[in-house]
Amino acid sequence: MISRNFFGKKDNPELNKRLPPGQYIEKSFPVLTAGPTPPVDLNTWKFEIRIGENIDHSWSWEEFMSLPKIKIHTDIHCVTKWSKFDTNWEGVSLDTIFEKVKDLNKYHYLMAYCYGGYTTNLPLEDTQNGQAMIATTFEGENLSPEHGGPARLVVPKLYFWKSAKWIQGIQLMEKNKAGYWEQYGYHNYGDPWKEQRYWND
Amino acid sequence: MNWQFAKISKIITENYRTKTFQLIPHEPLIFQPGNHIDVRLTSETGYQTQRSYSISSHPEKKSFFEITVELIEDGEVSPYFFNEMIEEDKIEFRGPVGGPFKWTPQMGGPLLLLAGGSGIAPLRSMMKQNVHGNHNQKIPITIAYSCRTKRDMIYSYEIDQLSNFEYIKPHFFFTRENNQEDSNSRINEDFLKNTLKTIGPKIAYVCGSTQFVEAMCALLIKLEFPFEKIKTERFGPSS
Ligand SMILES: Cc1cc2nc3c(=O)[nH]c(=O)nc-3n(C[C@H](O)[C@H](O)[C@H](O)COP(=O)(O)OP(=O)(O)OC[C@H]3O[C@@H](n4cnc5c(N)ncnc54)[C@H](O)[C@@H]3O)c2cc1C
Repeated sequence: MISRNFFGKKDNPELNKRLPPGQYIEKSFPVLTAGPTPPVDLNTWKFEIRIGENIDHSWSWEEFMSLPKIKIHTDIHCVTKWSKFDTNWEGVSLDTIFEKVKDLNKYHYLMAYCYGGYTTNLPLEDTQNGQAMIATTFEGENLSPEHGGPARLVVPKLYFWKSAKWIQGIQLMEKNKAGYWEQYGYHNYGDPWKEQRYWND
Repeated sequence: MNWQFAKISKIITENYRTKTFQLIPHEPLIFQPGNHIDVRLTSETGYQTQRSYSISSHPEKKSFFEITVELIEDGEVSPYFFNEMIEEDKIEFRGPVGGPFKWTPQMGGPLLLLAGGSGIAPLRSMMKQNVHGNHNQKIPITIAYSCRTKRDMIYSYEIDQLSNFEYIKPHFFFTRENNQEDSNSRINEDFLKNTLKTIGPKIAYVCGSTQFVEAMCALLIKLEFPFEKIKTERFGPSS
């Protein structure tokens, strides 16, 4: 349906090639979170890998910061419709984290879990080969708490709710399971190019 | 989730930069207070864009629902709503969409509602549900509503009436009413401390700009209100 007299101010065919359907370009950095920003203390901060309920491996902040870093330059797409172009992140590749796991190929999914109780599920293969990191800086600065600091998952190819803020760990799973927003009706996979916002999209 | 159409049956001018749109969908919309819809606009070139708007009306009114749109001067969608849309126009939308930011009478109370500007929209739906819903036990609600000046208030005609119900307690804060900084013109720590003590809320709902939500949550957490009992909806961007 054509909206009478609607001339999209942001209708820029050149730029919009880079924009998934239904998204618009935002210059600032909005916040999507289900609740308040949780206080996270670096002295007790841990990043963990869980297999079932068992902690298979864990890093303190210092240990984590001494891991090799990678950089990602990418566009990001939030399910609340904004996209942000050319963002810069630095952090630890999940490939580095997964090096610690024996029999990684037994698992097909992961659940990212966070300080504050948030969870989100992803296929393991979408987080490998440089496609995902635990970011600790954004645009060269320490990641601020409202944007997920001290550390958040970044998986740019999926809607940004998959890029869990305040990450505490990753649970490896053989079978897929719905995370927090996914249980509330948001899509299990969340590909912005297929506009997979909600169940059945 | 499918796209559908709704007809604008009525437009209510709330103030100089806010309008409420009463919408009649094809099929009645079953929603819970706190839910929102996604609206999609399409230009003649085929360009499309979407935005979210909270449902501000009473969920048990089955024939129509309402959204309340605040004008963001340099925006793309809100000026279209504000300046262009007229009664009888159609809009395309899908929904209801919702996450944890919702309230139903079964969830109980008392409730603390903190609204910044147009952030009052979904909280109005909660209040209406409590006042007009057919549940027996009315829930005590304290609402603190912060806006720039009296002229920026939304639903002022209703909020006056709401205070006739002894279980609803509104408090108003005008952050730019006088040219001077007056700390009592903001929802501040003292106010929240007293309120938490006197009403003992079961859940707090915070809705408005990102800055407003961040500021309110920081105060609630500082006052040791439990993290998991705070529900938030952020309307705008942050820097
Ligand atoms: C879940 C949800 C529910 C929402 N419910 C409502 C609602 O009930 N009523 C309502 O009016 N809005 C609501 N919003 C905000 C709404 O979706 C749009 O973001 C808003 O109408 C601005 O869109 P626009 O196209 O006019 O501006 P845009 O073209 O998107 O933005 C133009 C400029 O304004 C800035 N901007 C965008 N939004 C805001 C804002 N809210 N405050 C200050 N600056 C802003 C942008 O950063 C940008 O610089 C909601 C948002 C979400 C995510």
